[in-house]
Amino acid sequence: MNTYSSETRHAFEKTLDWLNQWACARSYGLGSRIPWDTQYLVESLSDSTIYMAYYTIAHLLHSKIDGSELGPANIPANQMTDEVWDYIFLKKDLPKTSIPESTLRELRASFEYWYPLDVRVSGKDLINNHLTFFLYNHAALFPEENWPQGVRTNGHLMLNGEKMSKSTGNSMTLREGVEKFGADATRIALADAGDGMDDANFEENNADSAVLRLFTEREWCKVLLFFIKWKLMYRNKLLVCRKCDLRGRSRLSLTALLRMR
Amino acid sequence: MRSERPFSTFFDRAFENEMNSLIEQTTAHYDATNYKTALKTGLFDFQNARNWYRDVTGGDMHRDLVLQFIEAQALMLTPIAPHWSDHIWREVLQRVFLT
Repeated sequence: MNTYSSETRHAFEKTLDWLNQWACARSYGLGSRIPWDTQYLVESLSDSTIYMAYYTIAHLLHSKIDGSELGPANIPANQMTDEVWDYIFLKKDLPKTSIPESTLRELRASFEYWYPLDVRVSGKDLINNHLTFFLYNHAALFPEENWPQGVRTNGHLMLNGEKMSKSTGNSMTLREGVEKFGADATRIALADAGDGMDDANFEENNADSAVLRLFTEREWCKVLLFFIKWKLMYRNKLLVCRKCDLRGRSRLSLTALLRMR
Repeated sequence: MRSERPFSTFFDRAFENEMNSLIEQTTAHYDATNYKTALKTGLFDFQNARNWYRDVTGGDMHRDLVLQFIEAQALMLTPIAPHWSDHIWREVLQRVFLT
């Protein structure tokens, strides 16, 4: 598996050292009942970390995020039996069900198109819980060919060198960034903020200078291309009648523009 | 602006070489999903190389290299600044397809 950095791999290995002490069941909260002792629940991390597989078919199963409306496959939740899931995810035989075979085939095709997943991107603080369970659950349930191909982790995002926090007012949403600097300059400053395990730092000064950089660069490209075209036309003697005039002007403005940064 | 072939000056060849080197590095950084370093080689270093070439030639640059620079810059910046790159590609370069 590609971990994109050795820090991420080390953090996984450290987690594996103590994970056998993790309590996999609890008596309250969300989770599936343990089949042989229904007073206990599987705790949520042990229970739910293959939902990336669900993403591959969710768009067919429901058209509203809360599941209140059926999706294009037109299958109510109670028809999604264990046998149906096994058919879709694990290449098992066609189940006895009222769901049409063509629909089942479509669900399986969608899963097999997307899996194995190429990369899961998440915060570094999730390595020792969510991401490790994600690997274990996939390894336990799927054949090796459908194990995750990569995990990329990143640090937290700071703003102007300070921790982001609603209480101090040092915060910026993506929408606010786009409104302030435009999408491209925001993206440049975000890329420049850093994307490794260390915390990234979004500097508003960098976003400001990206706006200026993109603008002046476009002007430079326009002028040079105009000049290239003009020179071609001039060579073809299309502009002979105005050549003295244009020549003088272009030289002047070109000199000025070439100095432009 | 010159258009003779092959390139006549050392600076032309040096700039062409520097562009190719930065394009290769940027590709490798994108492949490794290292966007900060991709931005450094694909935008900042790339423009610095151009500025150096512009200054040492006193503005008397080679047409092919200017075109190559503008194209490569638009392509390399597409993942990070897609709107700007698209604008350069269609409106400024007046290109439609990736050919």
